[in-house]
Amino acid sequence: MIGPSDITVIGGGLVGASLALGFLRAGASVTLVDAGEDRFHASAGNFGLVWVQGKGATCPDYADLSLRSAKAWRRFAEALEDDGSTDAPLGYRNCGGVKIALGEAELNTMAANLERMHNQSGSAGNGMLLLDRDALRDRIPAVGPEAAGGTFCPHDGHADPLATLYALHRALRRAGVRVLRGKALRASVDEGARGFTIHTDTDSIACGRVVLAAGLGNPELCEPLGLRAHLRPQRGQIVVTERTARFMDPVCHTVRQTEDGTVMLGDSKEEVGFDTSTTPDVRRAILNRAVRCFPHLAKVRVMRSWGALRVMSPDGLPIYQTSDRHPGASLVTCHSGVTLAAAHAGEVASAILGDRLNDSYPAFSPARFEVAP
Amino acid sequence: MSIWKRAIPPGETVTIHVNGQTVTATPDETVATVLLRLGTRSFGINPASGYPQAPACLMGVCFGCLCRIDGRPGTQACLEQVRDGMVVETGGLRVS
Amino acid sequence: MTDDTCDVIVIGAGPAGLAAAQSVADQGLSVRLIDEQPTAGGQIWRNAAVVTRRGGPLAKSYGGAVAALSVLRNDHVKHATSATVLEVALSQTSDTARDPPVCVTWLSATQDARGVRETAARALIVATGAMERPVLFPGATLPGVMGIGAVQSVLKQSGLVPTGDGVVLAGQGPLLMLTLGQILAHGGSVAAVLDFGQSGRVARTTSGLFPALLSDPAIMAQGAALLWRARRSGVAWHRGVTGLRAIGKDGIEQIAFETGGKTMQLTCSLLAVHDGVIPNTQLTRLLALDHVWSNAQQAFAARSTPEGATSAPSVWVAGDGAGIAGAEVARLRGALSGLDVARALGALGDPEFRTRADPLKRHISRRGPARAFVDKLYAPLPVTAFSKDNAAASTVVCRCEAVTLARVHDAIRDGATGPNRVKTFTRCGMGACQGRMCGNALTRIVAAATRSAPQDAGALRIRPPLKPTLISDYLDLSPTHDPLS
Repeated sequence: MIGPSDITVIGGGLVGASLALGFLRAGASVTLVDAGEDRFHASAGNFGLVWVQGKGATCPDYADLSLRSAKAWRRFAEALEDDGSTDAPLGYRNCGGVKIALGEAELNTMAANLERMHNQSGSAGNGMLLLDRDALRDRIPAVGPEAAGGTFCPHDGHADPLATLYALHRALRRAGVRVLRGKALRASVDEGARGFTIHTDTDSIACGRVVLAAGLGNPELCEPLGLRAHLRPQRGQIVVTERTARFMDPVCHTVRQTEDGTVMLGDSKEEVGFDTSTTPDVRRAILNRAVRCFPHLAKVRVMRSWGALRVMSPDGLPIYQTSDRHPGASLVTCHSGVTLAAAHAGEVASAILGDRLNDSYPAFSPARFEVAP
Repeated sequence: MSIWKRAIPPGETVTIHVNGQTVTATPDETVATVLLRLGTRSFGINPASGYPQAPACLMGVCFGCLCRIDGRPGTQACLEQVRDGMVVETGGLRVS
Repeated sequence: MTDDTCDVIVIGAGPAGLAAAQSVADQGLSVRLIDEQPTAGGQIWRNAAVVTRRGGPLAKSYGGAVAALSVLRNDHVKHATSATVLEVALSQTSDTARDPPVCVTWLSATQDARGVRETAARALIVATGAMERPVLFPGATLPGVMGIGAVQSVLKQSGLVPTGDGVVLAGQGPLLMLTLGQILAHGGSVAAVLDFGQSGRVARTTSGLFPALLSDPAIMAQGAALLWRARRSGVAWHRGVTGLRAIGKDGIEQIAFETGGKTMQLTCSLLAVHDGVIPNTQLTRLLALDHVWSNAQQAFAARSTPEGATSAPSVWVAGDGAGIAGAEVARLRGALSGLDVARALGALGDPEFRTRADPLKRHISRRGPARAFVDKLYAPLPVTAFSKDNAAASTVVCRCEAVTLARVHDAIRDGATGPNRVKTFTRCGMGACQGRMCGNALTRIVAAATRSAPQDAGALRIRPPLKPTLISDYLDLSPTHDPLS
């Protein structure tokens, strides 16, 4: 049994590590439980977008949170880079994001969606523009003849998710955060309900508060804490190429050229359970679309491909919840760990410490999934 | 000047083009061994380190011998047996 | 969309793959033999058709090649050269004939038939052989530094030998002495040998010497002759060497090393290093088969039965890829796995299987003591044995992504508990070679730093494609439907 800490965060991915950093900066003593080589580790498999456009088309609160987090990203990245936590920059670029329409039909759909969003309060401030054929070429000259236009959002950008994860872990280690290597098996409420005990496969720890940020591992930990995580895995296959000369400055939602020059191509949405394998037909479809967007990619080599599991709620929005039964226990889960990293390290961590998570984010309460009797 | 010399006299020969130069080779040479015989030290620039790279294994696992061969970038030169008229450009894993 | 089906796919056309193809074809089953080299024979019989026809000193090490290659003329065997396996899909099936559980996607890169193919089969035999264990020291990535096996490959493939007064061989093992002899026999030159073998080891291992002599007298005699000739070659022989460094700007110019308490520096144009060979597990890792760490060989190999059956029902392994045992045992294990596959597919009854398999098994086990002796005599050196303790910042672990040993150690200090977290944190293993050159060292480094067993430290996960592939090649097989829509 390890001595007590103020807060134990379960989950060493981008969500958990960002929250832990936020708690630490607010002066809390933090223990992080990190499963390490987890096969379903979404933070090691994701695409790296800091993405605002289209987020929360039906939920202004999500649109606003994404926008606030995107705007906070530069400070978040600089703080990690400046304190020497990393010698590799996080690769954050607020370069704007483009969704490319292949053909007029796709462009018309995008125009209609954009119109609908502009009519909603909350998303009008994200500055999204419709690009026609020429406007798209002004922004990205490398697009192919099939690209009919697209949408642009100036707040979109991207970052290196792996460098970000590493920088977070380095920052936590240097600040003396205790990291428990192991898989969290169970979180239990102590006698008298004054605290919690977290049991891992190697140890156990006592704490005053516990925050679940274990991605797809959350559901099995929730019940004793009075939390509910309605989550399912959704597979996205990603293909990455060799380094190539820079050909795009804005980032596209399915084509991202990294700081190194490699090109990441995605992304499928597949309901296949916990199957992380890749499939030739999806890979070909991804490559086919990428080459239609950027014909010169045909002469670039695929280095690697993988399947990663999104941590999906039924409506795709985050679930933020502090337990009514055990107010020291909270749950934070989302499928946009990169975009929301800055918010998690900032406002969300503050809300948890200030006991106002439920009040601050009513739209992300799991109550929305409970069917009224 | 190459340190590699033929221990066995060449039989039939073919002609290939290396970085614009016409070169005589034998059909049982690979592009990589031709380049070594020509005295090539750097096969290309490693894109991560920025330093020259060259083959270490000559059997297809190290990827130090990548060249553009017949227009295909990033081809493993040690696995390509020479063919008459082949066009080889050194340069490693890069797309131009 | 499968354009090709057969009973058995064999990957790798070295001694094991050729023998496996032969014993499968002998039972009337059809075989697709896929090999990435331009000609069959593997590394040991590289360029076999030419070398054996020509004769000479090299051809002496090609015993058995001509017989083994005759399988390529068998009507049941379709052989694809310059063919790169990109990925393999396995499925569960109760009827392998109607619903083949193996589908191999491969790239044919021959001049007249380039394109991506898919071949379905009822069983897969992986015979991808061995590779030299990459050795870590400062300057090891400079042009002009290569494996001793690589030097031998150049000789076998193209009849070239290194010359001049700057050729240095370093490391340990039978291949060092064999290649030294072959270079000299072909008019090449070697200026110095840096012997990293540990003095006194011979004395410690003589306990296994007599069983070894009895088990494989030919190999033992060959080894003794190599040793004797190498020592008489007149090449400067430095013993007890440590702290190796290759120095140069755009290629190797000098080497520095320590021996007998003093530092020596030599002009160098080619530094060839060797510390044994390890199984090439890239494909078996891609298939996520169970692997077992061998302490004696300091490497992983797919867990398999004596017949080569693995943790996946339709996959067998054979040859050095299943654990280093040398060319002759590779051939025997290949033949044995082929029989086991034929039995599993119902082409060979149990009694007949035993009649054929038992002699092979006897031959294999008879050679065990000799292998154990060689493994002990040339036990792999610790992963940092070639360089100095303080050289971590200038020692590269991952050549492709230029990740140093110091950065790997940092990542481990920052919480990377296994090779895949090190990869996540540093990009080690993400480059063109897909971890082939750093994977073995990375497992050993992580295990040492975290005081865990290499078996528990694990290995890099391998992702498809098995080799970097042009997108244009992939798109030759156009999608039949759009799964993204």
